[in-house]
Amino acid sequence: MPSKPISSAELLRVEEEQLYMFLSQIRPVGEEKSDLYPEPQYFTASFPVLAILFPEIFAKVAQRGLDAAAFGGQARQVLSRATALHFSGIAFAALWGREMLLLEPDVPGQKPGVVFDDGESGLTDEQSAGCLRFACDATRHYRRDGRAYPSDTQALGSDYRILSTEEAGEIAAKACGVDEKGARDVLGLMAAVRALSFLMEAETREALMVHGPYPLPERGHQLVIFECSDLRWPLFPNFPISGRTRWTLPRRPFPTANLAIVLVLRDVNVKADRFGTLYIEPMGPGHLVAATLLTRGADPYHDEGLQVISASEAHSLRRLCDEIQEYMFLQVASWDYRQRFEAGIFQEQTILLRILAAAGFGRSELEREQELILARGARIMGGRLEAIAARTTEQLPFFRRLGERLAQRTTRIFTPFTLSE
Amino acid sequence: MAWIEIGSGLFASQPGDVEGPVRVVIGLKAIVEWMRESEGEPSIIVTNVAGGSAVSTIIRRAKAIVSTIGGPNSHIVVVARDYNVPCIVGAGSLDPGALQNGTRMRMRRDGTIEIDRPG
Repeated sequence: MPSKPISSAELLRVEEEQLYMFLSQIRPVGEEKSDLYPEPQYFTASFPVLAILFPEIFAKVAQRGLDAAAFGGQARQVLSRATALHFSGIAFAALWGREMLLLEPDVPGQKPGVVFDDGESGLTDEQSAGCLRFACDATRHYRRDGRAYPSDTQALGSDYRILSTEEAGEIAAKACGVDEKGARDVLGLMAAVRALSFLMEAETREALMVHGPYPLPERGHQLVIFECSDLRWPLFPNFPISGRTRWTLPRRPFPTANLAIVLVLRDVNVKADRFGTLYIEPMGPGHLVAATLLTRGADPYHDEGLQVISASEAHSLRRLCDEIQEYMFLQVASWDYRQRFEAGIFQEQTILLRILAAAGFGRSELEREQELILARGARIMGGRLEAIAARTTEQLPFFRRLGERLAQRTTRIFTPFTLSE
Repeated sequence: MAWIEIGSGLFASQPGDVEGPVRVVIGLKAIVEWMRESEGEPSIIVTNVAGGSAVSTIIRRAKAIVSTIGGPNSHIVVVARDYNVPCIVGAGSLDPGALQNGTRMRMRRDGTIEIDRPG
């Protein structure tokens, strides 16, 4: 692992550079409308809460004996509860949330070095810098190459590897050869799982992780592992959506709480972004040589160890996934704008619970933490929700800033830290 | 058929010549209405979003997708690639409101979008 000390100012500069590359080379986050969840609006309501609560969450992780390095290292396995999305997402949400607060009018307690202070909750630049450092350290110990980002000069790098060569070989050995129909079924299941996760995670990919490619001995063959760590959403029915609305979970749930789809691919080119998404070209049944399915069991709160599900189950699992997709979609589609806005906010706040789950928190602890987070979130942002929900993307100051940066009308996105270091 | 060009965009998934009936999908109501209909000939979805969460629910009825916004790595493209569905994004000059469901549409490999001239 790189050990050269790096200042908070330098960490912020690198993160800002990476963000600019992501927005300009991959996807202008916040500018892509979704019919379901009003994305720039619910980001604006939820990221400040995340920024304020992250330091307390990391303190709770530390109480379980895990610093950033140990936390990242512990997650380096198939179907971990916290993944690239969370580690990179911490830096992302902590800095976006801080800047959103700096750009909002009438934020309590704001002064140089202090972003927010309402007497109960607070956020200082020292804490924001600490979150950025935590994210960077955790990612460096999560990625096999010890780097914080897939590339220093581009948004896309050549890989996102978390397993050693030996571990990847052991996983690849579990895969069985597939014919064209089998390949179609496996890729169809992957598509259905991704679509369902996009729907349930408000397009944030919070439960998705794709890692690899891991080179395999056979010429042109590579291993890629697609994961979804939450196919049951047990904490979602607790969201206090207005109008006494609650998520109703499907009567016939997905049989496992999580699923990894192991793909042995041939003759494909792979690129990786910082959030654990691989871009695979060309992708089709003709490029899938072998596959298997893995899970850590049916209980979302208990790791039963990695178990194999036959790839021949892919067809029926895909059909079930499609059924669940339709059932859950019709729920959200029946909600009004305000309810979908709130569902997005509450979903986003579950990133904190996913981090605690990865640190070993059990069901009753997570449910208690969820109550605390929902209450704190309501106190921090509750009074501003109406105004945020009513604004267009262009009227949200942070997204206007992003637009100005992409149009080269400004050179910076983030306000420099005011620190004592 | 007399094809007239009505716009163009970036062919980001499965580029090639594709022809089918238009299905304008603007807003959740349009999706729910389509879900309640029995499945007919797969359609070319024309939409004004680039997210994947809503469109993915009806993508199994799609022959192809055209979005007025988005880029090569938009979520709608990720979903389209997963489902092997052709997808053009960033077709900003296209006006979905001016299209009628059922009109024949043709997507060309170079990203050009055409419809069959009425009458």
